[in-house]
Amino acid sequence: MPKHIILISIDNLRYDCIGYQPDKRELIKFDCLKYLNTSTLDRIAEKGVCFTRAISTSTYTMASHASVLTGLYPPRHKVRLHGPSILDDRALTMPTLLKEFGFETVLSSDNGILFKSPGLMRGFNHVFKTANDNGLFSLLEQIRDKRMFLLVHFMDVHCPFLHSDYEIHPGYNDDFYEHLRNLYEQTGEDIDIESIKTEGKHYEAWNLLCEKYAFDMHTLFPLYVKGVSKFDQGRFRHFFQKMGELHLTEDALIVIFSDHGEGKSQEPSSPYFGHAGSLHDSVIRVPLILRHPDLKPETIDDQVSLVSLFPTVLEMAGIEKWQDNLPYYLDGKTLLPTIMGEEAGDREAYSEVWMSYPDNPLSEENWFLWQRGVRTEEKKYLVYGRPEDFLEGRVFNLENEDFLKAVFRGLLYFPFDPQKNPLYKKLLNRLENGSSKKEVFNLFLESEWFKNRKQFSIFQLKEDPDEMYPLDPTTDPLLTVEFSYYYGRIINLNKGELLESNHSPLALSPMGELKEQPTNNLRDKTEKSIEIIKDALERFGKWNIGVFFTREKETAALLYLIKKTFHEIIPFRVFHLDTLNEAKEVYEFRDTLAQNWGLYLIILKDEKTLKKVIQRYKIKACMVAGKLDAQEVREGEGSCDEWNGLIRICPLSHFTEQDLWDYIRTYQIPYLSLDGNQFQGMRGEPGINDTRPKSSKLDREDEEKEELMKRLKDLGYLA
Amino acid sequence: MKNVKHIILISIDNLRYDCIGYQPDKRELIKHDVLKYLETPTLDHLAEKSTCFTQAISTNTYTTASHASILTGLYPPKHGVRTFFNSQLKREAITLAEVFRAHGYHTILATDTEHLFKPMNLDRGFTHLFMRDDHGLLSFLDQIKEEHIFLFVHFFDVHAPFLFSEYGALKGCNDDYYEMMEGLYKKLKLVGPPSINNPYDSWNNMWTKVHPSVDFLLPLYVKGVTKFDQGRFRRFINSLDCLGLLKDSLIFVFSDHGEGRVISEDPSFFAHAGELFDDVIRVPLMVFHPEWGHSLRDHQITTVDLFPTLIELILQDRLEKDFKTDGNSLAPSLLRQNETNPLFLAYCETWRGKSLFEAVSDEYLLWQRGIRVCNKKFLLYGNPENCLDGTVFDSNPLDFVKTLRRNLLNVFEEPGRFPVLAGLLYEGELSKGEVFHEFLREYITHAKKFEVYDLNKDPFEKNPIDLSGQSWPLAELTIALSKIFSLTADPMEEMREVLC
Repeated sequence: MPKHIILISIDNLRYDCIGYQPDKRELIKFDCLKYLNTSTLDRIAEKGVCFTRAISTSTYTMASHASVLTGLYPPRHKVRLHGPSILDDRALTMPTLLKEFGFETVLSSDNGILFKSPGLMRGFNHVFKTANDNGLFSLLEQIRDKRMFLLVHFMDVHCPFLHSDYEIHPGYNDDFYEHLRNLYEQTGEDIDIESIKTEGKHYEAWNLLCEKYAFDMHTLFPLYVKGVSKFDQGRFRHFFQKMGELHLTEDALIVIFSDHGEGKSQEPSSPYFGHAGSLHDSVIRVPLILRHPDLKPETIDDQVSLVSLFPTVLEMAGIEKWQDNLPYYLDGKTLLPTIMGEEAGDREAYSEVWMSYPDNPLSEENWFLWQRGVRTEEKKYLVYGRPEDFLEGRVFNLENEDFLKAVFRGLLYFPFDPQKNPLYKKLLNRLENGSSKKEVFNLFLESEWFKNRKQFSIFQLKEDPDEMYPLDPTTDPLLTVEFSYYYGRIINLNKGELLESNHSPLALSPMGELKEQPTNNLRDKTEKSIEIIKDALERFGKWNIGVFFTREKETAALLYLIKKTFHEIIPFRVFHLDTLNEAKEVYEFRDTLAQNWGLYLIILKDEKTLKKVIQRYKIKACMVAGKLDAQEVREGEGSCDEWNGLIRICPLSHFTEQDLWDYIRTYQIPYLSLDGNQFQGMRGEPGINDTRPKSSKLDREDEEKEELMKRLKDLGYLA
Repeated sequence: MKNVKHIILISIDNLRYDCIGYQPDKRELIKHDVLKYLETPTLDHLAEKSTCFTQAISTNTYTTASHASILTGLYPPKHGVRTFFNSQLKREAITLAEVFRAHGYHTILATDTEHLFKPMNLDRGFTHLFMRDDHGLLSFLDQIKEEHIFLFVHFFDVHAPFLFSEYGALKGCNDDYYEMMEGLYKKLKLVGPPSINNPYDSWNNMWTKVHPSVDFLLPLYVKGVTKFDQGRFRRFINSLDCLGLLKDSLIFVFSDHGEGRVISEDPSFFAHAGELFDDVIRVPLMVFHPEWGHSLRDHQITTVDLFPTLIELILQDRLEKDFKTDGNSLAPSLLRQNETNPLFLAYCETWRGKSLFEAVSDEYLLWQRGIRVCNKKFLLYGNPENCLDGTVFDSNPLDFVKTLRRNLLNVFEEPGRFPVLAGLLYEGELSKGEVFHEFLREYITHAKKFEVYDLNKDPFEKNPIDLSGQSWPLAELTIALSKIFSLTADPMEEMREVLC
């Protein structure tokens, strides 16, 4: 089990710009292989597990990193845009969880805004928002005795190629400026390198240059590869060496990955070299290395998705039962069986990409869904836009303009200006002059605009790795069925729900089986209780007795007792005076109990209705789970009493706290511990192996309960 | 809407969508000239104060799965009762009875056939069960009428045997049935089971000898509906009225499935539990409220909409959590007295056992799934997606062949014979890849895959649309299929559960 966990994110690194990847056809095709030197990475890879088919969940940084940190696909973690979107509140990130289990969590990014803006800094104790390797090393030196989770994010490989935000020595970026000047000169333009340096405008200068060259791969790819080599031989070598000197790498799980590559981000036939565009393999395939002495070094060809990193890391970190802390299921699964050869990776890897109006990317409504895809080892299934919205016809209920906009966005999926687009104007005109939406929709379907847009594509990755020849699934019944299956998966993944799990955070123990033999003492006491209950039934009749749900533990025990008395059914109605102050777990406990034991449960919203309820249901007696020695006020009280015209019956009044715990333990009666850990040590009981530190939450819980009890007593409703 | 005290759900098993006054679309009855036998004064009386839906779709073609959908608001893949028998309601599926019971209602299930509820756990949440006991039920209702009642009453009279009333309170009320059977046996020169005392045996025996054709059976069926409406049902509704329950209840009257066309190759075969034809998946549905008048709604709805509707109408302010269902609440449509136009899809599916129309089987296969939307119907046969994702190759040769045959070709293996191909696989004479290609070829050339019907132009569902070369309809088909797959979730899981 590793002491530290180090995630190294090399932003923008292509899947093939690393030694272990056998598939180097693009590098060969553009004659760039000669520029590639990644000896630092290769040395790490030699001792690690290398994945040749790792797939990212998006083609831009924020969405991909969110997937790595949460184990969820973008529709579920909600960081979907290359713009304004924020991590779902309920999503638990890797650092948040690891922090709970004692890790010190550190984030170092060359471009911190990419983490800050979508809320991905959650859970980090220490954050470096700009390139500051030395600062990072000082911090690490101080905290290296603790268990540490480090995510370090390098932007060197990202454009501007060859430019590093962290000059490991003076003149480290000279080669960048050299290339910049040469390329500008070739276009016949002069630039002032010095002022670019002083004003820090290297990024803008680079972008302008790329535009001049139309982002052509022939020009840019060689520079890109040189940039990779420079990073590997320069800053990264320096970084990794330093980490070794600090003795941080020996017992660490090292994960090296990239969030996306750089390649065909527009049509595959176009030489445009970039990312944040189409889901082409050259961008969604990424390198992935896992290294730790416990893992035998090998190369894995099975496809895996980056969402599977989360469960893998948590499992390797040795956190026991971490799944119990997650109220939702993950999209990824642990890769350890795949590494052992027992499984074959992630059969389906999902990715998506959105596009925005170029002049207004800040507003969320200016974004629309461009491509979604599922990739298997043989094929890639892509859906463009949102055609599924148009079968049901909910869209037809929208107002004229909204309807048309939805049609254009969903089926044409590209930026259009309602003021200028001729088809839009024509159709809007028709609508306003009385044509029905159905008619207008049919006109739209016959337009050239629509006929030239793809709705679905299938790529056969073995025969057509460059994805140049898409198949139309509607041409062949088998393909239609096959494609629809994956489209159905896409639709399900897009539902985006986070709180769905068969696993309830409150696990009730199995009931009814005796673990130990009840002591004589316990047996006598339970017999007496049963007598009290039966006696009450005779005196008042079934419908005139109400059991009041009060403290969860006591009430569960009481109900269990009643269940045993009447052969597994609870013949009385159960009332819960809901103070609306209860913790969520209390409600869940009550509801699960109600369902499992078939309770006739009546929930009262406020105290005033108590009187009404007594009248309406003709309650003559109330049965509550009171017992001895909880409070002084109850000392001396017998098993029956008068209260508010109701006879109060307490079948457990002669039970002490210890008796109650004995009873619960013997019969495995479910109880609720507000810490969420069912096996929390019982108060005052020695010898129970509870290694969790006693949190201050316990004391507060007691206080709160005391207060509540007092309040209920004041209201004339005794617990 | 004025608050009502009680909720009554009346399920008239097997009632066709058109055998009720309010339904304007009576073309099938007209076509077979049986409209003259239809008289449903009791139902029509209730309809006078009801909002009546003319296009309500059930989720299945047999009783158990349909009722499960009504009680849970979920489609069959989610609630778990997908086959006629041998499947159970999932623990996670919450029923209407459980919800209302938790809110202080007496929850009562009154059915003529408890074996269609209890084994599947569909009685979960009900505190009282009455079996074929209208009298007992009504006495009990009399006792508790001051309190809140949630009553689910299920009548089996309209179901085969037609004309046979399940609750013979009055002596001689089934004489017409026995007379009919005697007459039929004589006319058809059948040798019947001697005990005419068992009405089911004599009915079932007839179908082993005679083709259950619509010309023969539809008149009997309609007469049976009339008899039920004017007999047992009238007495029941009158009693409810006398108890004062009608003026203080919200009542849903519906059916779980109809009776009619079930096999595409044989349009005259008259039954249910077959293919997803409109005759069987369209059902009547009306919502009665003591202060409403009569109105019609033509937009399509499905039986999973009942659950969220009840939650919204009755419990809205008292709810602590949202219930996840597959349906949409009809409250907006019910409470706004003018026609709204939501266009939602309805999903349905049907499984079949080893021999056609034999309800109870130890194994079932997925026969058809469908989406009905905007007057188009998209149907998918079998379970092809199960075979196209490669996982089938992991199974042993026998299961491999069985899965391919059942899922792609939609048939069971021949009973008693070990599949030849499995044998060859075991002996290594063939590889799995070769066998797979054999099946694929068979699938592509001969098997039924999917069909699309335009119900506007082809309401009798005789002519599936020819899709070749039509890009938007093909796109629609792709979308519909993908919705079917997404609603079916993980088909492999479901199959395994049922096959165990």
